[in-house]
Amino acid sequence: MQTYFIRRLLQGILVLAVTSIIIFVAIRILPGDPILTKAGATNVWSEEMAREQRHKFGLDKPVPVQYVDWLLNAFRGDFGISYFNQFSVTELIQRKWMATVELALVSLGLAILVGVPTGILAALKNNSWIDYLVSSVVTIGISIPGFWLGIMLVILFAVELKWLPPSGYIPINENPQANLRFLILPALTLAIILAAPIMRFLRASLLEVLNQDYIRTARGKGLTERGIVMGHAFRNALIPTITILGIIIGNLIAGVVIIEWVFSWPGIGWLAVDSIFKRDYAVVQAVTLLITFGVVLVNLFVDLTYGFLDPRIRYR
Amino acid sequence: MKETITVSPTANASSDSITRAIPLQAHRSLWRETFSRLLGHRLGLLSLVILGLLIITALLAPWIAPYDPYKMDFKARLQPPSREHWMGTDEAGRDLFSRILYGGRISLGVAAASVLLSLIIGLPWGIIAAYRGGWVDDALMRICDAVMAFPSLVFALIIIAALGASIGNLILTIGILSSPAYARIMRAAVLGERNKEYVTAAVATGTRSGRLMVRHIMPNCAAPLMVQISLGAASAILTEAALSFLGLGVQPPDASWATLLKQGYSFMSHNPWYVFFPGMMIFLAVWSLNGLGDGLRDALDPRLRSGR
Repeated sequence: MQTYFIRRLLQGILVLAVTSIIIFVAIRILPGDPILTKAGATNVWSEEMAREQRHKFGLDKPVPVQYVDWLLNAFRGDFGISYFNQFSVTELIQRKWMATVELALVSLGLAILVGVPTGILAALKNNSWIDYLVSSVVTIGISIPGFWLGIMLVILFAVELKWLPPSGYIPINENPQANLRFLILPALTLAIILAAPIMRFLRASLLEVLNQDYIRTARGKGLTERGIVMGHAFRNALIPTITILGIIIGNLIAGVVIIEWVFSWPGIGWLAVDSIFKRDYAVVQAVTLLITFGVVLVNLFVDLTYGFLDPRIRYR
Repeated sequence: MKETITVSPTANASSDSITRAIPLQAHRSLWRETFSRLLGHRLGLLSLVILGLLIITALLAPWIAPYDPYKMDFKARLQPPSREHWMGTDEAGRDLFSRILYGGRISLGVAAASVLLSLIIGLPWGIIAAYRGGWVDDALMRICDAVMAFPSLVFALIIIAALGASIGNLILTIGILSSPAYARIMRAAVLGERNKEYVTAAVATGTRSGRLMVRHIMPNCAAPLMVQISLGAASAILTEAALSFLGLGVQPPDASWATLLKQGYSFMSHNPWYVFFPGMMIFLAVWSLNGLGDGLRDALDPRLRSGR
């Protein structure tokens, strides 16, 4: 048990180390000099001033030293100063953080609310028209490009019907009602994309559990269908479902990045894309490191929970 | 240990059943068998037809496109679909249908090339891991885990930003980032086949290990691999689309479906068709590849009727 936990933990740290190096190196070889970009096309800065700026951001040190500096500071919550403006990166991220958390939580909640019951229903009514309908919806949800779905919803609800604003954001503490109006379309788009794998996986794993011997036993001893599903099948079907949490989080992150861009939703994903275009190294590094950290943590949590719930996993 | 955790219905079970179902015939009849089962599978058949149409129209684009995809006509800008322009026109009056036919060449071409690259990297990776075992296996599979743990779109975003946006870099990035999935499937398949009796028989008759691998084990691992290729191509198209939509993929004047979509996005309030059709093509391609993957899985193993 303990060795399993420790091994998983070490693996997580290893993934984090490798990816942070890749992020750092990839961003060093990004085309374009951030200092010259900052100076603008006019090139008003002298050599002297540029050198001064490089020194200020630590860009004149050797790359390995820069990496260690960056990592040590990151652990202290200091991601440096944006190359583009004078804000601290930590502050920039803090400012965008809430928008992403709001979008992610609402769409994940919606997806679970819709996905879990329909997944169960499809499994219970296996090979009925409901099952076929759910399966068709799932294949569509898995295959549709999220950003295109979002654009189609915008065309329908914002451009044609004019019920909702096409894009934008108002903080929830400024005007909750307006915030909600801006939230509906991006949250709906993300929820559809997230619900599809939830439905598909829950259906598949529930079907598998329903074929097990102990379900037949439960049926044999005269349990009601409801008792079988709630008492025996669902709980066991949930165990493998935990593993797709990793996939869901992956989808969520990819979705957040591109959906936020489509809807001009000023969150972490939007910040990531925007700073790539602005060549704002410090911000790109910080955001991607945070995302990696989140993903590694979720995967670690998934593996540990899984090992805890299903003892067979601990001894491979 | 990972294969106990990630539930992958493709890997072991389907390769098992083939050898069981058709134990003696040569591999040609396996393909024929699979193909005829696929034709009997409603969704699989539909996917195959749609995919076939998309590929054929892309290949034949120069002969079937009604207009030159680059010919501008400023008197006919942003038109809705009509008899002259089946899918309408873009902001420079170019025929969208013709542009989409040519776009298919790039979208499907990028997907095919990146799957090929994934195979070139992933197959030896998985085979070596399975054959060597021990610490080599451990190390190779840990790298797999590391790459797969990271959200590939974010990774691709950084790499493309570093290398520069071009079709070659796009293929390189998608191909490398998705290769671990192929490695893992190949490893599982080889491990599953290695202890079968026909392999023992081949070893006993003195077959060299290289020949054993290529002539005996590989064909029997083809089944799970085909499913993965189909699903992998679908996700390659989606990744290319996402990157191109953000402006980090295929660059004008080249245009994949997603490049067209991105351009149409700026004009969505003038001509919603301009953004509708390219997205529809991406969806159809991804949908049919996913459907084909599911169909193949069912055809190769009728016991595993997963989804419809």
